Amino acid sequence: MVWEPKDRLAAAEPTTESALGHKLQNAVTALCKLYPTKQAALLPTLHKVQAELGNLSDQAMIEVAQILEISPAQVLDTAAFYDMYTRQKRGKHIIGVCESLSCELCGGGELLNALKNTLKIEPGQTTPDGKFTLITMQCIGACDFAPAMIIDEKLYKTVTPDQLDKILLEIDK
Amino acid sequence: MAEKVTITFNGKKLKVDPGEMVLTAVEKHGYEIPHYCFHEALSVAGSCRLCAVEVGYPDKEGNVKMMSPLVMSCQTPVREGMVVVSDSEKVTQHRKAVMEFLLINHPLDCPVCDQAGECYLQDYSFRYGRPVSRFDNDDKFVPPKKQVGENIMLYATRCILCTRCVRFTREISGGAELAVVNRGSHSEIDVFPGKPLNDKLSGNVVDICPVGSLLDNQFLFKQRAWFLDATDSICPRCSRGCNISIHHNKGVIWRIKPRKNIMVNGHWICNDGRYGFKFVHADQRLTTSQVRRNGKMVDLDGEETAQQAQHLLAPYLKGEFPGNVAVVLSPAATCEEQFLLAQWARNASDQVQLVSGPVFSEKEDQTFKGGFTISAEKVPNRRGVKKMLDHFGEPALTFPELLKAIEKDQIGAVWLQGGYPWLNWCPAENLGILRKAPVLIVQDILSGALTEKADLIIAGAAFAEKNGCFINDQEFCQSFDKAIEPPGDALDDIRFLWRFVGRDETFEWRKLQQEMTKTLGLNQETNNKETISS
Amino acid sequence: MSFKPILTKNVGISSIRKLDVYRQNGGYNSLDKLFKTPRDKLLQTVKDSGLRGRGGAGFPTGLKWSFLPKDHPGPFYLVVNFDESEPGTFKDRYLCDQDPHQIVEGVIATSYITNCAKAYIFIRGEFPEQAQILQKTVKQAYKANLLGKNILGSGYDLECVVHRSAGAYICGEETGLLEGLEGRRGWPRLKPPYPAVEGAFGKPTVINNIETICCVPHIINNGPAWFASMGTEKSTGPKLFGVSGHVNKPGVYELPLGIPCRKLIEDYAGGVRNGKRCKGAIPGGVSMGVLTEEELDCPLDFEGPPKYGCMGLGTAGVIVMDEDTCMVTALRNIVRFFAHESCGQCTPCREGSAWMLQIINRILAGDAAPKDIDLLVELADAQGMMPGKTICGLADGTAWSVRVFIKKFRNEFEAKVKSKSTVTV
Repeated sequence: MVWEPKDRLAAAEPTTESALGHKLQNAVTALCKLYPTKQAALLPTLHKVQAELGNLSDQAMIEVAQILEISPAQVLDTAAFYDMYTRQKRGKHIIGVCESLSCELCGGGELLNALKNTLKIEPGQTTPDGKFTLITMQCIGACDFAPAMIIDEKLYKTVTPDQLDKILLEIDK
Repeated sequence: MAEKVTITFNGKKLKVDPGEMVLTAVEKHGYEIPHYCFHEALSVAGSCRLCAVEVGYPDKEGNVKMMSPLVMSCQTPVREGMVVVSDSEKVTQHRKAVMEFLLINHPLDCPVCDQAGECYLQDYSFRYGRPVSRFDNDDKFVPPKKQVGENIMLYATRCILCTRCVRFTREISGGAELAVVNRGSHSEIDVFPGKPLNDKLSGNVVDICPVGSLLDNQFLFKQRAWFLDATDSICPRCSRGCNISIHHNKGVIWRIKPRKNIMVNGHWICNDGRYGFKFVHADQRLTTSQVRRNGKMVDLDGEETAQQAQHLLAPYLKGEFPGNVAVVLSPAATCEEQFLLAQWARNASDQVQLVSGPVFSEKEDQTFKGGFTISAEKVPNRRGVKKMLDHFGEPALTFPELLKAIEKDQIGAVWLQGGYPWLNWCPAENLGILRKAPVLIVQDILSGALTEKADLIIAGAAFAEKNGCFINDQEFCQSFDKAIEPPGDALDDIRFLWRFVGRDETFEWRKLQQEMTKTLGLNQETNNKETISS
Repeated sequence: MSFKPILTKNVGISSIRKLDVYRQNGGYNSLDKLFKTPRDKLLQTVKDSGLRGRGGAGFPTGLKWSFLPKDHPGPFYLVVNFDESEPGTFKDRYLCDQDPHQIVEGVIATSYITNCAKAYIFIRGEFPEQAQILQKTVKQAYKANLLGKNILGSGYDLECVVHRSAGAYICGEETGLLEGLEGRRGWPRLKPPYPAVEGAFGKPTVINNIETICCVPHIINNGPAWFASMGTEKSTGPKLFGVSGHVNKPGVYELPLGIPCRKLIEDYAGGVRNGKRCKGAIPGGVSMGVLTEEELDCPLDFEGPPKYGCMGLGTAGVIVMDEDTCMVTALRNIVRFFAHESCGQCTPCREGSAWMLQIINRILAGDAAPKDIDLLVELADAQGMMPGKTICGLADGTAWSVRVFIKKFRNEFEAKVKSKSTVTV
């Protein structure tokens, strides 16, 4: 219910284990050397942590904050601003469909609908078997290959709905 | 001091300090430019866009050329000859637009919102906004309410994202607990789960929030702002002596807010002071003076109390009974109380011991990022006691020396001035020693183990219930006003002492203050009467 | 007359991503002249070439560089804006895919001229492949002493770091970019101070678009007069035009500035697909507005589109819409983009873009009144950095696209409003 206040006094997911582990911690410390301030390493750090762990858990952000000598709220401030970072766990494969103008003009809407029907989820959701998360993206700079998709950091060009079954099969190998 | 420059504001010529922002420069002349995100103690954000003005300069022929784009007066420094216009059609329309934009996602909570009556959204809407909003979609953004600190509730739906609170925690308190999360029209203020806003300066975010978004749990739903009277006072919880405003109604204090004093506390107070007034209304307040007669405590009025005190002390003053009289000046008492008592003591006999009352301190001052300091010394007026002792001189004892003297049977009567703002301030191990003195007079505000031992209890007034002044840790003598009456038949200590010491004239507080200031050569810091300006 | 490619001259050469192949094709030749010429002369060369920023604003590059303070202990930073996110724009991605060493050569040249000690290439997060390509390219350059200490014995040191953003269009705004570089949310800063005076990490900073940077070695190699001989008087040089939407051959076309839009679409991009007519074309990224079919003779340089009621040339990303396109739906796509990307810092853009999206959605659903169209235009006029109402130019993009689409295709909006609406006011 909207009128029930969210309690921020207690940690949402209390844990005693380290989320990052030594290897990641060292990687983050190494990133700090590329910038004159520690906080400037935050964006590449969050990319690295998310690539490794799948999502930015509360504990992961707390540890990042400690290494970069900023408050956890400052990490959250940055992490929650950018589209590519996720706090929630997502599926094994992230399917991003561009919904900007050139792609929509060239059939991006039909492509998205086809994916919604095939996967039976809405954008922002993950399939029940945890394999696919569907998201919409804003102009991914591939208008010459509209309609375009990015799946797991790979660009798929001029995708038509009839190609989808093959693509989904390929990435799930 | 740099020479002033002249600007023209809505046709009027104003002399302003060079380099100052247009907003604060015209405010100093009493004009209002509405704004939300700007706060003089915080960095400039320039994000609310409400403080827009038109700016222009005269060309070589003297014709004023107004610049086409609006500028924000919070980030535009004044320059000689600048022409500022805030009442043009362009500015008026822009203000209407900004107010309309701010209200489209704002809930219609005025009837249930604490901020009503002191809300800048209400005020500016009324003065500068549209009478009717054209937003007829029901798709408002409704983020959840959040308990972001033990004392702080965040009604995120009401937030206008001025980010004052975020900048406060990053620049002034340094804890950086608050953050903006998400983006665009889905932005909200939040804390990291499990890292709430609980530091000692947390209450200030409620003051600086221009709307009813950040609210104080301890004040929530308690009083409507328009029922409250404000009285200027000084916080009694430590030797910093932050300037405060007591908000009260019908004899009850409902909340404490800071008063701006650049030299002492800036714009802020700590939670110890903000929430530290509860003792004023504690059940344990002494509501009547009492004397021990035949083992029982008998109520007294003011006249009788003074007589009883004289009666108990006289034999020791005259030397009829052995032992000196010791008068303990409390570092929690006002200068005037200390002064009257010390003056009386010196005049009564050169054998009366003046004792500096116990001072309770923590190890260190606590200083925050922006410079605000909470003193380690948790009493407001130790320096007042020192002034009295310096002036009225020997014989004088420290409190530990007094206890030793009592144990050596050198002390006959003790007048123990208390008034500390917490229960059982007197360490337990000292109680037995104090009781060894044949006569124990306790002037205090809260009952407890000490008053149970007293022969005469003088029920006194808390800081909010009397006029007086404290000398803070910067040697400023800061005076404060009486806000409410003491409970029951408790006495206004100054008036009581005035009668007790035998002054004939009608009591006039200011006159006493002048006498004391002159006698002691005090640095009278006039109170900065500016109440907190958001 | 066929235009001799300059920025795209190496497109199609196999293994051009390898350093030695790039060198074989004339790559890094500009460094010889660069290190032998005094900095002020080099700066004047760039000024004389008339090079204007290719990131969207078209600000004269030489002039921008001259704002750097003369007496400053430094260090100065170069931050390359590779946050290409304007819908319809993909030329920078193309440059990186096709000839990444050209970017690095441009970075070295720009850094040397402006005396920067370190260069950060700020690349949008949604270009992971390009980030990898750049990392490899930079690594090759380090190995060949083209980056790092004492480059080619010149005594000049330059460090270069590729910094990935994480999905925010607003980080393409130069001060939003600096915030993203410094590890914060991409809220643009108040100006003044400008980045040339106080930029990355508080130090004087040069910020330029990828394509702008890539022009610099060519200007050094061939001289400012050569560069200025292409294009128009006020808009000199070659330009990468992106064409997408309803055309037969979407892609990047390098042509001199000033080519008429119609010519670009018909002669180079294969014309409108399926034999349809063009209803409208966006001249340079969705922020600019739209040209009607009658206006397609508009020359695509920095001065042209404003004469036809558009904000400017922008990123020269042309989006073509055929006769069957619903302009209201097209505008909804654009406003949805801006509402999603608004950073939320200032009131008009944060609240206004979301409100405008709701109104357009209602218009499309047939649930709007005629006054809603006027309300849309009024809300658009309450936005924008140019009238001083917002901090940055994202709101200007929203304002211009809404204003121009409604101005030029008002009949389509009115038709939608009257179609199913039961509201009479």
